[in-house]
Amino acid sequence: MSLTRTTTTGAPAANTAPRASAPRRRMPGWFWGALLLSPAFFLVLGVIAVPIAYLVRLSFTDAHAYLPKFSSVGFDNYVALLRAPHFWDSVRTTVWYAGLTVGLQLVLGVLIALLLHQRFRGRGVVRLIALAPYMVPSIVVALVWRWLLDPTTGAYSWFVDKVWPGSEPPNLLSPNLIFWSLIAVSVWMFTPFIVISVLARLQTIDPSTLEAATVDGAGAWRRFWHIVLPELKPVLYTLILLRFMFMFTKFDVVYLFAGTGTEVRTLPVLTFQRIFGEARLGSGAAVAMVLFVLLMIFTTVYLRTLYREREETA
Amino acid sequence: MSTALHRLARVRWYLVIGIVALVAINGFPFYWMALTSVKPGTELFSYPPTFFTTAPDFGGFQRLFETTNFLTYAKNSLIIATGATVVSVAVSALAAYGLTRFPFPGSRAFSTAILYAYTFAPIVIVVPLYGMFREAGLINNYLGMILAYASFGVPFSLWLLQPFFRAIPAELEEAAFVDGANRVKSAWYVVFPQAAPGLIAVSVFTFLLAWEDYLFARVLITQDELKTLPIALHDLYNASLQDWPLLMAAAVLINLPVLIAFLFVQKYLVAGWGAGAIK
Repeated sequence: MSLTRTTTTGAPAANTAPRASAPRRRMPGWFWGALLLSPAFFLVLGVIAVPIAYLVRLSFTDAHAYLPKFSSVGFDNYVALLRAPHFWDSVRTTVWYAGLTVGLQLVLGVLIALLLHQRFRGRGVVRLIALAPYMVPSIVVALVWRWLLDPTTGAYSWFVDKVWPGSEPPNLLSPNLIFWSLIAVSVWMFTPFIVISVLARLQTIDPSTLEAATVDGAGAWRRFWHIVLPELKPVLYTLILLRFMFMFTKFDVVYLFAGTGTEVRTLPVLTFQRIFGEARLGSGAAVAMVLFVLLMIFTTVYLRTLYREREETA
Repeated sequence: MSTALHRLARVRWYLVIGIVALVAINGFPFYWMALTSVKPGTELFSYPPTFFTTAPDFGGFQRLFETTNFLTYAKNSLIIATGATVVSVAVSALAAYGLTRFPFPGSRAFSTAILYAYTFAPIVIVVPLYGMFREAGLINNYLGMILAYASFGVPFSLWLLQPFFRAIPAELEEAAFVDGANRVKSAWYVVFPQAAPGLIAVSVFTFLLAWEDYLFARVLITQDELKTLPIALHDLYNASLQDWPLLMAAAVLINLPVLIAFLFVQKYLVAGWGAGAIK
């Protein structure tokens, strides 16, 4: 369509002369739109949508992870799963893990974003350092923190000894404390995501509003509570849902830092252990299905909120 | 004189404390990683630990290159991450151009559907993908890995690119048509360069996604000579003797491209996150 439109800027006549090479028969716009979209469509269909359908099928079979064994078992996998006490332990661990890490990330993320929003010398460098943990591969995060917290190698024990001389530092990698260490490491790693998002939103707040409030005698706390926080509310709401979805399904850092045993067995770790530890592909597929259904619920809520927010601000 | 005193009095101490704490907590693990990679064996387990070494020992790096297939793993990571980036960015740039220039009934629904795909957890996808790839012979295969990462990059990239393409005025393209360019030429010389910041941001995003991923590589690669860096590093850690300087040397090297990419695109990253992803 736009090919045949002439320019509206009143350019010199030489430029607006009709072109002899204009195509005679033209495909409709939607044809080109669909053609351009098709590679993305087939890629996402083939590697994400079709596998989901295949996952549903797998979850009703006794498929083996390495052998070509494959027969239908109906709802057996699901029934066994819902009856297993460790499945409910996993659900509880996952909810606690996601809830605690998201809550801490949010509080710390907003605080750090407010800090980095202030004007000070060297702000650019400090911002880079503040965002760095999010960029690092999870295997590196897991290894460096296991090395830092190792009870025999020094760095962490030395620090505890300096702060509380003479105290016996607890082994943070022991089965009864590893969950809490994992929470700390996850918060360390993922808080930058909140910082970036909140910082981007803070930059759009009109400074004159804040100046006016200062002139009217509002202190820092009141300015935050009555002006900044209401402005941040939509983005925080979105972030809570988005981060909860991500943390609920987080596999790599959980598994690499803490998940090789049974102490921290979230649903993603349980899925992995079922399939590649016990070689039960069908049974693992059932766990993945449970995760998937929970995730779909979160996603629907998330997108509804996002669109509502878009319409409100539009 | 008085201005200096005035400035000192105005220093906000909570700000200073906050910044120092932030830099220490975020920076120390990186410093410790780099330090460990060059610590001589005599200082490695000393107590109190040394926080600086005057005699750096590059034995960790040497052992990494001599006793492991580090270069092979790095080559695998590079091929897979580059391939995934090229496929993903090409596919999502075409789609973003199509969505913004030729909207058709259902294109909004298509955007939403793709967005749904972005929220699908890797752990959920990898289970059936393993089954499918096993039947299709795509286990231990560069192409399989590239397709898997590319399709994970597409939803986010498409989402992030659309505002960039929408911001390019149609008049710009029309001017190119008037000058005799066809649609392909105008897209290549006029539209895509305008969208360059977005294209760079999604390229880096996809490259890092593939470079850093553990799960897909762990599941879809079983041969040692095809391993990517993250799983190779995990396997080195699980080896019977934990050689920490070697492990930290590997960690430093894996981080290098990440650091470079990060410094290069951080301003696009903040802009992109603000504009497209979280809004």
